[in-house]
Amino acid sequence: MSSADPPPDSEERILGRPVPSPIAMAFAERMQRHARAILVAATVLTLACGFYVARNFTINTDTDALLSPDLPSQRDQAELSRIFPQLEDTIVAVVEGPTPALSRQAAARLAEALQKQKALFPDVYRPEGDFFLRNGLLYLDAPELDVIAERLTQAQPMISSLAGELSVRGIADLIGLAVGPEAQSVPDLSGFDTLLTNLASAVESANAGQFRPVAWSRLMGPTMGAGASTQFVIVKPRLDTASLEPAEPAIEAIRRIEANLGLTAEQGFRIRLTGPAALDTAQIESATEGASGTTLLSFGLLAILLGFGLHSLRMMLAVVSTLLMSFVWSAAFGLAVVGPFNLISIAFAVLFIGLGVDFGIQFCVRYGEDLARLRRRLPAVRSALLYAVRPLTLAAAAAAISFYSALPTDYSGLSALGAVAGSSMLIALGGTLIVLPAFLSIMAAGKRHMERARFGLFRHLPIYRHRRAVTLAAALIGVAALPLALATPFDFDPAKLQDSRQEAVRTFNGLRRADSASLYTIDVLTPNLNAADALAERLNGVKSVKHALTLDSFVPEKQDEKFAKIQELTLILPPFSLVIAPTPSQDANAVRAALSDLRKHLAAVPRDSPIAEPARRLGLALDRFRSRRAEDNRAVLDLQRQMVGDLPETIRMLSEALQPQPITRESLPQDLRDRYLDPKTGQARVEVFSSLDLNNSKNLERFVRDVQTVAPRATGAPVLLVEAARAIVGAFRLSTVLAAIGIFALLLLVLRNPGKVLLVFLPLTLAGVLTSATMNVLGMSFNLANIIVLPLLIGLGVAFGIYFVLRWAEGAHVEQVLRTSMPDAVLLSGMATMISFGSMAVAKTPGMAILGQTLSIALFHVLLCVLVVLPAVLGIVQGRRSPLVRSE
Amino acid sequence: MTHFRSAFSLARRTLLAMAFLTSAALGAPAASTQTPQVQSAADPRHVVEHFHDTLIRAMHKGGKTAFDTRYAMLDPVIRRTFDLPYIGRAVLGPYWSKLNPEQQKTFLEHFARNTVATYAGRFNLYSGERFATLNEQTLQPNLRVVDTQLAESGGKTHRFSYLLRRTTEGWQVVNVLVDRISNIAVQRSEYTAILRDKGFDGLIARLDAMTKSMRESS
Repeated sequence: MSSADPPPDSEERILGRPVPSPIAMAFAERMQRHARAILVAATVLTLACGFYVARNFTINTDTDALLSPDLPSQRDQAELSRIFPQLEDTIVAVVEGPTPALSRQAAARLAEALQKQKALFPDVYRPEGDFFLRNGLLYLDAPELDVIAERLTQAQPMISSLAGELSVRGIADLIGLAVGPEAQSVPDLSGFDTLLTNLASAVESANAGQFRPVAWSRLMGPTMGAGASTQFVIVKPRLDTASLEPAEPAIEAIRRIEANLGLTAEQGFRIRLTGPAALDTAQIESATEGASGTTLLSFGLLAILLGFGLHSLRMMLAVVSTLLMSFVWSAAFGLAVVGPFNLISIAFAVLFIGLGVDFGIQFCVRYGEDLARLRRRLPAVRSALLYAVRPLTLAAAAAAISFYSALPTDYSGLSALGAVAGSSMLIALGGTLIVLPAFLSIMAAGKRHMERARFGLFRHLPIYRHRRAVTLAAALIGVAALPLALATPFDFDPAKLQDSRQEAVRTFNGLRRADSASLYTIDVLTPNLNAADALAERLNGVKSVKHALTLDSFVPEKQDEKFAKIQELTLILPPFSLVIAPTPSQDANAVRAALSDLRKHLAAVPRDSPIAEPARRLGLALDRFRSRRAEDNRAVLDLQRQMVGDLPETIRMLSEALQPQPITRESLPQDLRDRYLDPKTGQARVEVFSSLDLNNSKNLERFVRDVQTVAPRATGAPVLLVEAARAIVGAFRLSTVLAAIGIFALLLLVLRNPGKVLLVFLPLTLAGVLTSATMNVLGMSFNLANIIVLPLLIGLGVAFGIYFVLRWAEGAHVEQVLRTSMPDAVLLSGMATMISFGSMAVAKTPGMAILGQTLSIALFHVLLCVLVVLPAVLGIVQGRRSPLVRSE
Repeated sequence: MTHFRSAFSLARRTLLAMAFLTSAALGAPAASTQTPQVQSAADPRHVVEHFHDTLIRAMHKGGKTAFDTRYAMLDPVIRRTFDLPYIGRAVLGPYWSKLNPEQQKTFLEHFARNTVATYAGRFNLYSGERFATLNEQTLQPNLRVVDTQLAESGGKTHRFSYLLRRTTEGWQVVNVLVDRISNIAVQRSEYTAILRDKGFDGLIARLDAMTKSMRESS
């Protein structure tokens, strides 16, 4: 198979290729002779590694573990969660029923059922629990209490008479009185239309066979007993940390309980699960699902692009196979040496494919060039191999240095990524220099390749002629873009990166829009309750703080004054007047009679009455009911159920709310106390709410900073977010500086000329500035997802720079360099990475999408700087070097 | 929420009419008279029963010319049975503290007259009605309910629930609920609305007008 290579010809010299040493030549020949053995060995290794990965693949899903546990904020948080474990990793069930009162009742039932499963749900808490239903009035201030008193006073006759007759009869009588002859003198009928409209909707939905009970509790307003229509149950689940989705068993159990309790959509209930544990699960779901999905898509697009770019199906197969093999090896290496992946280090796939494919392309394009020149496969492979060793090794080493630079940072997620990605560069290099030549050596080369080299896309670009203009323009743009580039913000909010199609995310976003202050509270741990109270008082003086709560905040002030008012209310609205009469008549005939009376009352409403329209609507609905369903006893009783709606629950809750008990620190409910005061150590928690809109990251930072000036050891979600952002930005800054120094040293060692090293860095730096500036102009910010582009940018930027500068440094004129296959390879490789990962730009997950967009922007600028700006600069720098190619 | 409030306020006005409807249509006099018991030290049930007895006796004196007689008869009993200063205060709710002491005094006097006149006007004829005490409950140590029932001769019944509070004067009525409708609630809604719209003088004028119409219509 082997044959002697032709002696290096003159073209070789002109292009500045050093003649390879005989030893290297012999080594390459041996490799080619054992090509099949190499491929068999590689395949076996791949299968073994694949098996290992399949068996041992895990992602450490704890997002907090991404940060070094030695950070002060992490330590404080750990301390807080040790003392108040019920606050950590919770699932928040957002309960909505057809009416506020039914929501509250459903939340209570759900909480009760969850509490029975102590093993799975160690802590179940309702922020608006029964205690606050019973004592809610004490938490209002005096003027608010007066408003409630007035409202209840006005409502008393209606509520009490309905309580005595909870049926269509009661409703009919009430409406009869309101629209009857004695009421005609009353000018104000504006409120009654709402009631009639609600009744009409209920009858209409009954006609349509739906269940939509009248929401009396909503009509009465949130302050009267039932509360808001959205209720919360906060659950501390036992997490299965060994699993990929630790909260999954708990979530499934909640869903089962929901179904058992009949809290179904048909009954008008909706229970959505969110909270840290559910969000983590959602994030992992989308990360794993997204990762496998996009990886497949990436490989697919990559294959297509390579097929076209290399003009050869076989070469494409060789590159993709090599890539897959070394990918599996890298994953196995990562698992074995670095340990389980985390949510950051799993992104090594992006970095690996980005650079791995570049190595393959550089090699294959070179091979194509040599094939056209030498017209024989084996010598061409050998030639490509021998000439590619230096640039590829240097590029891989530079990329590895760039990734390894993350190792000493505080961001353990990033340092794990650095370890895996850095090592994977060396593995990819091995694959490209050993497996890929073996593939190419045993595959027949296409005839077309032998006949004509397909490269030289850049030969007609007049870069050299306009070198001064290009350089000047690049310098001007670079300087102008610099301030913009430096101003691009870092948005640390991880919630924005999550897939809002997921229930947990969507629900969280909804809650956040409605009330960000309650979702992002800061906690401060103090030695005792007195210290907590003192700190809370100081914090209450801080501008960005709305209020700071301690256990004592739940003991209402001025209780004497409030009890006097409530006592008065008790006289006006005595509890016995709210006692509900026994269940309404289940006699369908009685209901029919009442319905028919109601119809008569409505018919008596004059046309010019302000309630004429809703009365007509209710009347029509009742007529329709009578003509279609009135024969059916069950339908009649169902209609009564819809019209009576949540009135029984509403009245019962109101009645409870009117009988508060004096509240002391000791009489507060146990679960509430335990959330603010540790019974064992006496340590107390201060919970700080912000007055700012925390959907804005700047406000979040300000809130954290303000609280930290008063309480340096503050913790909680906002602090963690801000501190994590600081740590992450710091980590990336440090690793970038280290990477720059390391690569500089490496290049200096190899190139032995600081000027040339600077030339390698030039396109990278300019591309970095332009990328950041473009993002700024487009209103994008760096975030936890797309910051990963930074190491990729460095890796690819340096690699491309090395290819160019090496070729040029070997003595060729820049126009000659542009005529070789190398710029084409750079373009193809950049395009390959851009298309395979840029495809993520259209992903539904915002995190994925923004990563894809940033990557596309970055690669565009890298290519521009390497292929246009760098040649122009080289053209100026090379000075006297003569443009030999012109004579061709 | 506001809508519903007005809905209730509407209902309240109509129910106000209803609350006294029954008693307004009462019938002819009869002959039973009893000596009033001494009631200052009496327990809540006796306070209420004494009041009912007085009402029944007043009804026996029914007829157009007898309004003043009935008024004179009821006036001392009502002022003793009911804690009128307390009720008056509760009826004005938060507005009470906005009146000056002179106005408060004036209001209480006109309110008391109106209350007496209302009873004298509504319970104007006897036609076989009977009050029966159903039970007595303790709501709070100093607050009790006496549940009674008024049976009309036609067989219709109405529930009168009296809330009594222990004061220095003994047990005094602070609210009456007729068929679950709270008297203070009805009056408070009405009076505070008048106060808001027409001011203090408007309220006094309205009270006097109602007192007058009671006298004229009975």
